[in-house]
Amino acid sequence: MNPRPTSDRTSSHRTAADGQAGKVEGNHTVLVLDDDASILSSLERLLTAHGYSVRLHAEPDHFFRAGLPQVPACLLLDNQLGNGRTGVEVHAEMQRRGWDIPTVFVTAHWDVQTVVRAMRAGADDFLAKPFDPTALMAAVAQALQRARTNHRNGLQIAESRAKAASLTPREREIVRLIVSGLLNKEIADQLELAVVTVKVHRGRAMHKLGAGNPAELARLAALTGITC
Amino acid sequence: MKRKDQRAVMSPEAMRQLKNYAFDASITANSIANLDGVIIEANDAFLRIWGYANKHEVVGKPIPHFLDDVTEVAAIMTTLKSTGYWEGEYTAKRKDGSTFTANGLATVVRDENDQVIGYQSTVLDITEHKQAEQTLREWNQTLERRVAKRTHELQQSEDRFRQLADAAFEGIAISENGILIDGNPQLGQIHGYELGEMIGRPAGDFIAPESRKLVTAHMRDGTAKTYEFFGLRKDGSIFPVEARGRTETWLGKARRISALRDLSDIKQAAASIQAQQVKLEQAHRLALAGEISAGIVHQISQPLCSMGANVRAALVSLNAGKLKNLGTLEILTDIEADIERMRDTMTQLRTLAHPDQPTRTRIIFNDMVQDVLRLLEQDAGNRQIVLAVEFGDNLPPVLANAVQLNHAILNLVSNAFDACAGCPPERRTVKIMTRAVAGKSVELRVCDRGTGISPEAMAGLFTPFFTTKPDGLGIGLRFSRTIVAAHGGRIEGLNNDDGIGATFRIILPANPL
Repeated sequence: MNPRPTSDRTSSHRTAADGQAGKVEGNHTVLVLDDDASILSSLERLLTAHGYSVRLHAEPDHFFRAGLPQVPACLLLDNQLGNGRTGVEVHAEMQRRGWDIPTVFVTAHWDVQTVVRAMRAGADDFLAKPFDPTALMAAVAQALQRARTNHRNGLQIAESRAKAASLTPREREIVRLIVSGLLNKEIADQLELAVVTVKVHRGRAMHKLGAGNPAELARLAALTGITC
Repeated sequence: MKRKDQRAVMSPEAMRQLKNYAFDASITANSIANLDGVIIEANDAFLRIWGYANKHEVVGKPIPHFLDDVTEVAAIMTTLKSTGYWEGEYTAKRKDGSTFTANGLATVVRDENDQVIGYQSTVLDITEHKQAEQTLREWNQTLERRVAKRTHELQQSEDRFRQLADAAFEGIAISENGILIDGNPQLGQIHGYELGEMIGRPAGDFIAPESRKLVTAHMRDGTAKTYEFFGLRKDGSIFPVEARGRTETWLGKARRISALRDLSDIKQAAASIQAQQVKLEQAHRLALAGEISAGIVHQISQPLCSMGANVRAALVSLNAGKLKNLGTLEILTDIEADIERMRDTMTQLRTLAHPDQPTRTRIIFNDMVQDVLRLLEQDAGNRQIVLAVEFGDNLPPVLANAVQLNHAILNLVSNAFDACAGCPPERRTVKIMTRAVAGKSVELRVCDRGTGISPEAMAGLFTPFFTTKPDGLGIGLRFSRTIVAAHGGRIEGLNNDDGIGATFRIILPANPL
């Protein structure tokens, strides 16, 4: 009989033995948190067969200790995690820590209340066990897609923030005033600068931020918190 | 010589002497008086009764001298003179003045020409007689009084009896030779009659046809214990009766006194209770089923889910040409394990939800325990658990369903193994003992030196779906208890006295036949 995994581990050796149907592109990881060993084992096989990289956890503690994945990730989360702990609690803890991981609840025991609570808390999807494997794979694909988008957005924001940090105080000031609707002349008057100086600062700021037009500038300014 | 001749021979003188003699010797007080009413002759008895010493004191005295009330004399003389005859009583006066009651007969004396020449009287002193009469009368009165009193008492007693009978909650019937001769109003009431309508009729009229034979037999045999039959009401309906009767002899005749109780209400209540119990059992079973279905959702869904995932994984991999033999073997093995999980669950749940009577055979208990242990030998070895076995002697056979009992025993031993898991080697021992208990039961003890039963676990020990095991179903002990209870036994689980591990016992009644 196949020894059941009793601790979390990655799927690397398994994928090597079976081969994949075709590896899923891009860095990613599908996290699975379920206290049932046979569920973990079979889900690993299923996900791996579809080319996903998998990280398995039987215990919430292990899950959190392993840390937030740095690549786009989604989570398959059981609601009954043993010893009275629930998936909903784990999800709440994730949000508390700022772990924005798209989560698909997969659980045998559910009721309307639980579903509503989970969805309100921001779950991406809710599947009852035993699930149709096709539906599960679709949910995983969707969740991972969102993860990628988030990831990309996150990267973009980080990028923009870095750019905003490179602005000088004067440049920052001028961006603020532009975004508030003042004309160059008005800004020059206010700051007691020459109009041409204003124009120079403005050009540099927009270049640093990568904004092509005032609208974009406004957006980036808001995004990076310059205008606060 | 002939008597006639004798008479003819007697002389007048001799005759006179004889008469005198007779007069004198008579025990009655005889006296003769002349036409003037003066005594001219009296006999000894007369003297004696009137208290005179000799004739001289008496002869020559007038009749009134000898009576207490002289007016009585006149009445007597009048009657005597007119009818020639008097009979009656008067109060006589003695010489000493004392009186007595004289009962006398007086007649006139006639001569040969039929002329009255005097009077003669015969008297009896009936004082004693009178006294006796008085005493008798008094006694009579006393007797009458006593009788009256007794009668009154009897009447009171009867009244009391009647009151009691009438007040009795039961119907009372008294019958003689199968005919109802008396009863209380309740008797009428329970049969839907006026009591009067029932008296005089055969008791069988008030007994349902199907019960008549039974009741007749009881009445005939004089059965004294309580029994039940069906009574027949006036409207033809039948009703359940509880009867107690006694046969007694009354004035030489055999009478049957019965107390009857209408059981309709009681029977109805009993039936209603029974119905409620059935409903309660049903509800209980439904509730259990409810518990079970909640459990099913979880405990069947899991293996079903992992099976689905495994099969799909296999298909996908096969399609991609990426599944190797070892991988396939692993997947199929896992699937089979899940199927077994579900099968076990179904078996247990099915029996739990609908306990019916499977076939039972006489089991040699030690053999069965031996079989179970053989099954678990390898597992014990794998888990490095030491098994110690002690089979008791002379265990009586047990009537049980082998499969179910096997399961219960397996459950206990398996639990004991689980309790040892994770304990240091010296505590990984399980001791199994069997013994006969007072020849009436068999006992199996499974003693482990493991983790023991925590207070929470103790509370939930036999509760459905309570388990302390990570992959436990939580219905093993509950199911085992159901099995054992269905066999008339019980399961107990207690922590060991020395605080290390626990002991579970199964006790089953023997069926030696």
